[in-house]
Amino acid sequence: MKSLSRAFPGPQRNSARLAGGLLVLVACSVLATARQAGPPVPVLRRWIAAVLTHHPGEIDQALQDVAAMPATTFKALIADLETTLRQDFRDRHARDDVRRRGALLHTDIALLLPDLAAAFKPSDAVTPPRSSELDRMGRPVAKPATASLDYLVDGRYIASDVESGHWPFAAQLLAGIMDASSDEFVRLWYRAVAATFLREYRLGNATFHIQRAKEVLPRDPIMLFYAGALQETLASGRVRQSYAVPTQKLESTMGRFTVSDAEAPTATNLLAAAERNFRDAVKYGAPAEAQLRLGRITGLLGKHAEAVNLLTGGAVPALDGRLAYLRELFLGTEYEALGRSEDAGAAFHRAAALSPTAQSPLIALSDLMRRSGNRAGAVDAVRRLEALPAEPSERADPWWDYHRSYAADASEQLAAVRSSVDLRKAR
Amino acid sequence: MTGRLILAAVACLGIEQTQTPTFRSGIEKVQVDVLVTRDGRPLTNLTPADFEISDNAVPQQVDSQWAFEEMPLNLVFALDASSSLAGRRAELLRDACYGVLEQLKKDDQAALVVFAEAVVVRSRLTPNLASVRAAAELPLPPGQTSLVDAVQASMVLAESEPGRALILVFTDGADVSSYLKPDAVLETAKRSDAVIYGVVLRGEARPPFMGELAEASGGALFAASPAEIGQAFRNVLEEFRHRYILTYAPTGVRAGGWHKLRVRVKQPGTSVTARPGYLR
Repeated sequence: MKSLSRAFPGPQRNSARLAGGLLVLVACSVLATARQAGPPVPVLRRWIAAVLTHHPGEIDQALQDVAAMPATTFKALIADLETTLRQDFRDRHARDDVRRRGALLHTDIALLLPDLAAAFKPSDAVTPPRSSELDRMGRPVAKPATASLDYLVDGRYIASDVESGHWPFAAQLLAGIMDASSDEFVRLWYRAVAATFLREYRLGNATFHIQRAKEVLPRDPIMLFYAGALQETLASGRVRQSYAVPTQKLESTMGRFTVSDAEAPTATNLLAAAERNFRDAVKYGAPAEAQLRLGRITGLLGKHAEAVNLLTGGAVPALDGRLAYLRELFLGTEYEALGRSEDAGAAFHRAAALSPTAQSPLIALSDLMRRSGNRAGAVDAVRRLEALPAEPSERADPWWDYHRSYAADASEQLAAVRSSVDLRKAR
Repeated sequence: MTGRLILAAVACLGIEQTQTPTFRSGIEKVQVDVLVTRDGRPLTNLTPADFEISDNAVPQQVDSQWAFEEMPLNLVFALDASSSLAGRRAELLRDACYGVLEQLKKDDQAALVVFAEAVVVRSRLTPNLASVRAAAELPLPPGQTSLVDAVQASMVLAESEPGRALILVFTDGADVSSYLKPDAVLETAKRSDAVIYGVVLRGEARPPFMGELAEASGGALFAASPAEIGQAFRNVLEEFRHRYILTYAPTGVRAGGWHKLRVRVKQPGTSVTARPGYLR
C-alpha cells in the first residue's frame, strides 16, 4: 500500500506557520502575565500556554503540566474554551490552530505518558459532537463517552475500550474547527491515530475513533479502508473466539466480561459491514489493498465467483511483495471453494514462491490435497513445511501480520501530523 | 453411544472411491475405532459378535476386530509452544512427552510438531523414539498460536505411514494466527483415519474447536492443571490402548456424503464411544 501520509498543501502550511509564529508570541505573553500576576493563572490560560509551547512528539514541560491536571479541569476547560479563545484570538485561523495544537498535545499525552493519561477516564471526557449535538451557537453539547466492546485474544484481554479521556478530548477540540470535514490536519490526524490504534491492536480505541472519523470524514477513502479492516479483524477467529467462551467462565477466570454472546455482533454482520466499507473505499479511491481485502471478504461471505473477479481485476494483479502473496493465497482459497482444484493448487504454489518461508500456502495446499483424496500430495506439502527453517525467527509469513500490516506506516503518519504544526519549523 | 467427552473413530481404509452410488462389499471397508466401558472401566474381552453397527441406519455385518495391541501406533505430538507456555510449564510439557514415549512399543512410531505462529515439524514419524525425545528437548519457539494449521499438518503427518494414527494435541489458548478455518480442518478430520485427543489447561478460556475436533475424530478432550499434564498424556495412551477397531464392508448405503454411525454392544451395562459418523 502506498504511504497514507501526506504533507500539508503549500498555502495551508504557510498559513499554519504564520499563525504558529503569532501563537508563540501570545503564549509568551500569557506565560509572562501568569508569572507577574501572582495569583493562580486561570486553568484555561495555563492550558493554552502549554498548547502553544509544546513541541509535538516530545515529553516537555508543557506536556507534563497538562498531563498532571486533574480530570475535572478538562470539563471546566471545555465549557469555557470557546469564549476564552474568542477573547484571546480574534483570528479564526489562530483559534483553529490552537485547537489543532491542543489535539496534538493531548494525543502526545495519551501516547507518550500513558500512565498519567490513564488517570483521565473516558467517562470524564466528552465525546466530539455530531452536528445534531451542537447548540445554536455551534458549541458542542457535552455528552459522556461510551465504552466499546471488550476483546479477548488467545484467552487474554487486549485493549478493551477507550483507554484515556485524552482521545475523545482531542477529537472534541478538532470538532470545533471551522469546516472540520475539509480540514487537512483533521484528516491527517484521524488517519494517523486510527493507524496507530490498529497497528498496536488497540481495538477498543480504534472502534471509537473510527466511528467518530466516519462521521467527520464520511467519504475519506483511507478511513473507509480502516473501518473495513477493523471490522474484518473483529470478525476474525482471533477476536471472535472470545465471544464463544461462556460468560460465566470468563467471570470466574478473568473477573469481568462486558459482552455476552447475544450482544456481540455476529461475524457475518461484521463482514457485511466490512464489505460495505471496502466497496466505498474502492469507490472513493483507496489503495488497491482495499480491493484485495474486499475480494477476501466477499469470499468469506460465500460469493466466491465475485471474489475471484475482485482478486483478478482492477489494480490488484499489479500488486507486488506482501500483497501479491496475499492475493495468491486468497485466490487459491476461492478457487478451492469453486471446486477448481487445479487453479487453487497453482495459486497456492505461486503464493509459496512469492514468500518462500511462509507456511500458510503449504498448509492450505496440504488441506486441498487431503480433501480431494490425494494423500500423497498432502504429504508432499507437509514435507515442504518440514523443510522450512526450524528457527521461527527465520520464518516469515505475511499472513500472520495480515490484521495489522495495513497500518504499518502509523509512525510515519504520526510524524507527518506532528511536523505539520511544529513550532520550531514555524519560526 | 455416550455423549460425554466424545469419542470414536472411523477410518475409511485407503481404497479408491467407487463410482457407483453404493459401496461394493469386498472392495471397500470401513474401520471404526471403539471404546467400550462398564462402570467406567474398559471391557477388553469382546468379539465381533458382541457388536452391532449401523451405517445411516442400515445394519452392517462386523467382519473383523483388532485390539489396539495388535496394530503399530503412529503417534504425533502437536504441542502448543506459544509465548504463554514458558518456564516451568514448558518443562512439565516436555516431561509429559517423555513419559508417553517411554510407554511406546517396538513397532510404534512417533513424530513431534510444535507450534506457535510457526508450525515446526521437529520430527517426522520415526521408530527412533530417542530422536523424538531429543527433538522435544529443544527450546520451544515463541509467538502466538496457529492451532488449526498445526492440527492439519499433524493429521497429514499421522497418515503418512501405515499404522493406527493417534494425534495428541496440547494447547493452552485459542487460535490466533492460522490460515485455515476451523471448519475446514474439522471436515478433514471427518475424512481422516487419525484419532485426535486434546489436553487443555484447566481454567483457561478455550475455543470450541478442540472439543469439536476430538468429537469429530473419535478422540477425547481432557482438562488438566500444569502439574497434571503428564498424567493426562499417560491417560490418553492408556485409553487408546483399550479400544477396538471394527471393520465392515458397507452394504445398502450410498457412498458419498456424511454417514451416521451407531455402535452398540450386546451386553448390558456397557457404554460405547465411537465417532458419530464419517465423511466420504
